[in-house]
Amino acid sequence: MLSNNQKNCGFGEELVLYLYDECSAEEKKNFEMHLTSCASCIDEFAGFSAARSLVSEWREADFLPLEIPSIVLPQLNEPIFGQPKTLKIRARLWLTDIQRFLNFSPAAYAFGIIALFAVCFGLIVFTQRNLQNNEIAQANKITEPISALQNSGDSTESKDLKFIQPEKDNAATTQLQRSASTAVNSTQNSRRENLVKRNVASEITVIEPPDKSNSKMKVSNQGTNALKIKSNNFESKKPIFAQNNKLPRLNSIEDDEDKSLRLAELLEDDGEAK
Amino acid sequence: MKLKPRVMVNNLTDEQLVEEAVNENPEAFGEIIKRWERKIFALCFGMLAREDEARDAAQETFISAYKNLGNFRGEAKVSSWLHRIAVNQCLTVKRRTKTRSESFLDDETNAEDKFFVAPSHLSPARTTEQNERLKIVRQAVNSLPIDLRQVVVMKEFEEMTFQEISDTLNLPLSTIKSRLYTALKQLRLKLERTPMEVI
Repeated sequence: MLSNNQKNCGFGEELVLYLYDECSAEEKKNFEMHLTSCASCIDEFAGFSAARSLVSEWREADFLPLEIPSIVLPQLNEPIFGQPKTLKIRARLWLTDIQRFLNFSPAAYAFGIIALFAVCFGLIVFTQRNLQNNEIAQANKITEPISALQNSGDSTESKDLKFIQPEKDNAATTQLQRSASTAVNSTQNSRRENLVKRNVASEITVIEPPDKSNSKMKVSNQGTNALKIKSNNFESKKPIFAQNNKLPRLNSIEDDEDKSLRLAELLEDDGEAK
Repeated sequence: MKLKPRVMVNNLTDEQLVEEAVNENPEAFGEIIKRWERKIFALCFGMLAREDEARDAAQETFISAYKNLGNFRGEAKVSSWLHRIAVNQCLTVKRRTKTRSESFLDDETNAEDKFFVAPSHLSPARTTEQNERLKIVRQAVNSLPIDLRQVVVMKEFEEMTFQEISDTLNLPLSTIKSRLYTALKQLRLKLERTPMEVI
């Protein structure tokens, strides 16, 4: 019989595993090899086996013949067994139900959230770019008539210009319209000025009516002089008013019955067309 | 509001059964009782060594678990939770019994009336010897410290593996093996002091 002071060789855990046959094959082999050379472990193993057999005998004699009791719970049908459902418990139950329903791991949840954010961000960027492209396209459509007007050089075309109405009325489109119309007006004004200047300094002459009575132009002499002047002017292709070194006053020319095209009429028509 | 209809409780884990029970599924807690009543009763019997007290302790264990289902946080296993409640109930019953008698295991009348029925093939002498032996074993087991006794009872009466005991008590495996080693060592010493004849 071993005394209590006898030192343990350090195989205590392996001994209990071997005793209850819960060790691996390798551990069993190693312990059996140790038993062959350790008297204390042999003695201890024997004592433990005897104690265990007595406990098992007690179990078999007293416990196994007993019937398992039928547990009867009072008030089984009462809800939540008397415990109130706090908001915290409800939230936890909801989360548990959702997790059980989805049955995803936390890493999958994190990945899903990140993917959702990335998709939303991409949609926002895509939408903004589309809006910018649409605005640019609308602006280009509005400014096309302006460039066409600049390239053609024909004032009559300006009468036929029609601003392309945008599909949607918004502040940006309206602003573009205004700027376009301003550009058209400025262009027309500049053309008008150019035409006036050209009339002053160029070879374009005012087409005189054949009937001199319609003309208010004074001639110092009789008709022959006027004719001369006119003829001279026609031959020399110089404007009549060039002699006086004054810009003609277009309004001074009266032509009640004159149906021919006059420069002034053309310019006035352009102004009305605005 | 539930996300899914009531499910079959047979295929659920213990933790899922508790959740179902909290969600007012009457079959869920019944399944928990069905799975654990035998082991809890074995634990209570090994701790108390008396059938009537073991039945009372087991009943109180499940009633207490039933009432505190809402407080189960899910951080520990249901087995750990039930075992903890059972050990506490055993200690409560033991304290209650101790107030009635100094040593409940010394009550020879109760022990003989409620426990062992000797097999018919044993002679009266043999029966007496066996009774004496079992009495010594009961006393030896009940004299162990509560933590050592619990491991012995879970190993011998509930027939749990070392890993299952480790998971239930939430202790390292080496601690369980060490405790059982110490318990068996003390049992051996107590039993060897009392002369008895092992059949």
